[in-house]
Amino acid sequence: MTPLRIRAHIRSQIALPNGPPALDSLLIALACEREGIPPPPTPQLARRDIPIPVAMEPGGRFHLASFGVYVPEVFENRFVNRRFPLDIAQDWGEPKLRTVRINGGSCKTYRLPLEVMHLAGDQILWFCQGDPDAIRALLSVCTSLGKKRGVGLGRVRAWETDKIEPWDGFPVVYKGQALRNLPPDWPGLVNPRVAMRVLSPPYTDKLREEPLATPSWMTEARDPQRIAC
Amino acid sequence: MAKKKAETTETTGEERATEAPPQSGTFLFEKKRYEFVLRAEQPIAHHSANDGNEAIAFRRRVRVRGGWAEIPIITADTMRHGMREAAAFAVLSAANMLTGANLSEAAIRLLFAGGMVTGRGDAGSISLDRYRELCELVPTMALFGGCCDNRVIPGRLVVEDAMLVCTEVADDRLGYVPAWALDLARDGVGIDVSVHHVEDEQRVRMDPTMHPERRLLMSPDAQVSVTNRLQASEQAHQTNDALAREETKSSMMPRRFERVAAGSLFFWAIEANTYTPLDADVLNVAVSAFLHNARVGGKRGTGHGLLRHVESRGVSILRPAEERAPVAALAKDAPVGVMLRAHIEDRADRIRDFLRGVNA
Repeated sequence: MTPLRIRAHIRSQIALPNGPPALDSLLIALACEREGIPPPPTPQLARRDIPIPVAMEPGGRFHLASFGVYVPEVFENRFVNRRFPLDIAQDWGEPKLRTVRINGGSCKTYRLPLEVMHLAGDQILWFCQGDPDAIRALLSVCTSLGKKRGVGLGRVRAWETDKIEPWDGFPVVYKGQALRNLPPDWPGLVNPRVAMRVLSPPYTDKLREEPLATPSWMTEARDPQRIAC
Repeated sequence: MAKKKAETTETTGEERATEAPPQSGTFLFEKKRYEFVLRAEQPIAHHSANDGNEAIAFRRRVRVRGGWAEIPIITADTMRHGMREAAAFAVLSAANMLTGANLSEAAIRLLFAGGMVTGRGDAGSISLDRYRELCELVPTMALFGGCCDNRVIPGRLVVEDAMLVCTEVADDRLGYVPAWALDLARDGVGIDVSVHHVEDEQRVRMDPTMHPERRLLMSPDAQVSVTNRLQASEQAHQTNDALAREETKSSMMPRRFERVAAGSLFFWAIEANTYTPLDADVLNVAVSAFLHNARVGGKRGTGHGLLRHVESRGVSILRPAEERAPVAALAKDAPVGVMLRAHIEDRADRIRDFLRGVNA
């Protein structure tokens, strides 16, 4: 396994309301996509051993891969709109379809705000110990990141995979700060910020939350170039 | 940190799209990318908001050399919805369900708006068999995604904004519009700055009671009422009484709106994961049916919104390459939809039953 820095060049706005994407879960999702494992990613399905070309920590609890590192530069608001197709209902609706409530219920029309951002340098960085060729092969079919990919957000222009010199704590700790969710007693952490988080994918599985050291670079070390160079 | 090796993987790589094998269920993972240049045959009135009584055209902020630019677009949501609608009609047509008004509210919601999580069913367990059955009966669900019962089904389709081809983005290295589309624009109508593409228009909804001939069609009482209101309005103007002027004003409504001029070119791209030849056929049906008569934005009833396909390129993203070929599905007499139609016709009765009882 090789120490790697992975860089996604983002071409457009990106929506990351749940924070930075984790490299291990991204690679698992891509492996599932390639194998045609159908969504949705239930905890049972996602917990199944899906091999990815990233090293595990010695205890086998999580992968040696960081969360995404990025700096928001410009924020914008856009809206997610949904309208019931009234024109279709008028023409093709069955006779017993006589009224449609659009101010509530299943046909409710809505306009939800969604915060999107442009990233400094239009990039997201990850660090990991992995097999560069296999990672490259998986990432080559990943063309979008974040939420609302279906409407063009988070478009990835190119992936870059570099071999780099590892530092102390690579790839999950940088200067005493966690680059992913880690056990609070993980070596190298300095005054970690502890919160209820999940240690391994799927990170949305609230039932597995436990007190973990969480990345604080979003507020304290906001310059990815400082980490990258 | 010493950089020992760097390799870049362009995500828009490719090998030429392969022809569909005869078996519709054969597993063949592909990530297809189609790119299009579209021409606005009519002005495009696609608005994001109102500023006073002026409707503002949709724009997207993009990073360009030296700063930022606001480029007029047709939103990905609009283009995606157009594809979903076209594909839904194709499915209904193949199932022989366009013979009369017979769709339930839930079926309309599912086919044309992606459905709705209704809360029925056990949210803690997902029946993959039921999911597979759903995707088999309504193949467009697998492509576009949606909701049914307690399931949210992620789609496999990524649709990008259709972006105006203009000077601000006319640099292949920016990645917004590829070189082939820029060359096509330069050789054709040329490339201009975006502000020159946007027109400011004004329309007025007339008040028919202001027209003497229309007033003759009114009942005597109504004529008296309108005449009194007109006199009161004139009086209010003479006395400069703002409140009375407001109360007696006509219903004439001038309003302004921005629109992208006819003849403008847009670059549009979509990507989809296809796992079977049937998936690929559904994608081709959605694209070709939509682009056959693509209308976007508002004011369609007054000569706005028609887009025409000019040129396309298709690639299959599996390994990095540069080859791009015209999208075969848009070629004249291409056998698009044959597989989908056969698939739907074989299951027409089950599809009708499913749509009759669907909870979405």
